Amino acid sequence: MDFRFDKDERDIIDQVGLTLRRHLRPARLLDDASVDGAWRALAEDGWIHAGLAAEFGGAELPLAMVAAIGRESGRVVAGDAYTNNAVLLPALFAGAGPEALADFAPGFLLGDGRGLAPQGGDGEQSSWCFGAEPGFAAYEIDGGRLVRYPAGSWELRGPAGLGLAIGAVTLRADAEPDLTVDATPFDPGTLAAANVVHAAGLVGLGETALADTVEYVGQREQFGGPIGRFQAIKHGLAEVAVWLEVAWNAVLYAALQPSDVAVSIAHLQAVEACDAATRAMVQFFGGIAMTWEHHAHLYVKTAQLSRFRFGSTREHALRVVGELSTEAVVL
Amino acid sequence: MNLEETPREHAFREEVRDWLAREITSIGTFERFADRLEADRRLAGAGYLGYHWPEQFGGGGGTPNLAAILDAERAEAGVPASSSPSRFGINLLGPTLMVHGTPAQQHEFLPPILRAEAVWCQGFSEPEAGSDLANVQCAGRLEGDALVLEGSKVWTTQAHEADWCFALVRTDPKAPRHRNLSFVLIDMRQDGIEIQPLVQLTGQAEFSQVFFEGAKVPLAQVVGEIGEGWKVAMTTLGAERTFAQLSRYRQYEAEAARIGDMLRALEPETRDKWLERYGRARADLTGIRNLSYKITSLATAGEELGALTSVTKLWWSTTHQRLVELGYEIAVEADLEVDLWYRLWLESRGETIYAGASQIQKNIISERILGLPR
Repeated sequence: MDFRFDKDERDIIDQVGLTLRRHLRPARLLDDASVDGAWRALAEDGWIHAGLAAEFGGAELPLAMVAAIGRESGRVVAGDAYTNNAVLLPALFAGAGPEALADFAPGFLLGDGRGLAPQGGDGEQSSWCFGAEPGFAAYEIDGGRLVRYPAGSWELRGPAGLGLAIGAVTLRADAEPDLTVDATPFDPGTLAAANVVHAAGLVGLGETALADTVEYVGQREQFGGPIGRFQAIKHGLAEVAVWLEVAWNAVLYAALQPSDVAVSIAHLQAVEACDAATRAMVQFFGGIAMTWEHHAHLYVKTAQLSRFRFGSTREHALRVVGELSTEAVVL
Repeated sequence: MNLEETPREHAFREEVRDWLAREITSIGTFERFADRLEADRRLAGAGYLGYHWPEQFGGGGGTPNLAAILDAERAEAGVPASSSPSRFGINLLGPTLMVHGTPAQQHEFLPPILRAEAVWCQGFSEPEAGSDLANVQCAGRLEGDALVLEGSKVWTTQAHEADWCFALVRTDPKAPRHRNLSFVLIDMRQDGIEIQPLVQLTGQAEFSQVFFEGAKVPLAQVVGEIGEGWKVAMTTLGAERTFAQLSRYRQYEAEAARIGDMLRALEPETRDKWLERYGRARADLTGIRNLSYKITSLATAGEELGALTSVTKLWWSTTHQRLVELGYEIAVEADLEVDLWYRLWLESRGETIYAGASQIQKNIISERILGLPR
């Protein structure tokens, strides 16, 4: 048993983090060019398909490593695009057969798609799209078929005034798919992997929220010194740090042993940790975090919108108790 | 990164499990101190006590991974290291003497610990020195070739059973803080020592206040130099916080399973309202297991643990309190095992206080991990 990354693995993870941070910083989150740049850089370096089998051009990295990349993606607040492109879309392509793969794969491996990702295995269209950006193709599952809509044929419709590229993907009336293939629904293994990588992204997002808050309370002076010296603040942030450590370990455990229970535990704890971190961020930054003058609002909104993906916390908690629950849990 | 046991680890687990079933489970329920001490002596005879100690000090030289397996299997068999009478000697004093003891002290004191012949207790806390450990007032006055003790220690677990006590005493009232203490080994079977058990919330008395009035410590039983006791004690506290907590995880999992049994006895419609909380509590318990795995893996690789042990202490204590709280509420609802869960609820209050209170752990985490100002 070795429940830690060795040096080679850490080097890879650090490299991905550097690539992402070079292009994307929270202050530039709303800048489409930065987002495009980060995404394409990630694709060019091969990280998007790092977890894929060699026959699909991937490096066959184990799920724990894919999760670690997902965490880095979360750290730059890149939404859930990594989960979509690294786990869900490849699974669809694999199910659609080699011809479909030949048509689809080059596009998404080059970072050409980070669009609409279905929520579950029932083949229904998603009502939420995570991290979709204008200028990219959108993919959707439609009645057992996987279809691709080119850039320009869809728009992102978020809740009014959120100021964040998370919202419902809505196809234009004249939208025509440019590729269509038969697709198989996600198998349970794919959904488990997606949930793990999604949870990793939440941990990463929480870690960045914590790091920014720690930096701020170390500088912000009130009552004659930095507010970070007050135990009310230190202890609040220590609790967040503990949650993030626990959640990240749960993600890694689930990546190594992706049983239903382990995956649900990772989901529960990642949601809790990310929630605690982003709430603490708003509380400790104070009034400025209630405005668009500061990027804290982007973190909070990303956290709140992401937490409902891949099942609610109630559903996951019931999956942990197993046969004691009479409620059928379908994620 | 992997969770697989090596063939060697797997074989060791089987070997330990068989041995425990054969030699230990017949002793009793381990509620009595004498039974727990007998278990320690049998473990010692098989080389399982101090299994992780280096071979040069008579230990088994076991890797952290093997020691963690032993820890978990002992918990399953009802003799977790956390309730072993030898734990203060094995986990705290032993590692301290290996670093700071003279060869003579190592020769005299380590072997009886490994044989479970000498039961130790720890004398750090005092009425005015709880979280502020350096504020020790218990005096050790030099008279001839011995220190004469005046003062008291408190929260001393198993003091009334112990043969020996390792303690911090103030040997120089004038020296600055952290330079005025000495680390001493006190023979508890001598005049000048009075032990007053303290009755806890539960009505039991696991720890005591110990009063010293003229008890003596020969200078040969001072560990490290006179006045350097703080440094020695830091090694002890470092040892205290480095163990993995797999035995706790097993113990709390067993309690969680008991809560599951109570839930099963409830009508489905009554049961359902508890399930979400129960699921979360079970999820949180696995955090103890995962932190233990991480600590064990880092220790095996020779990497720094940093304040991860503080994270672990905070996590297991608060998680267990939440679990027991839930168990107590369900017990009342189901009218099952109310006494047991009430007692556990009362007992668990102490877990966020002893071995470094939660507030201290949060200070450590915020300063050492997050780098926030003092």
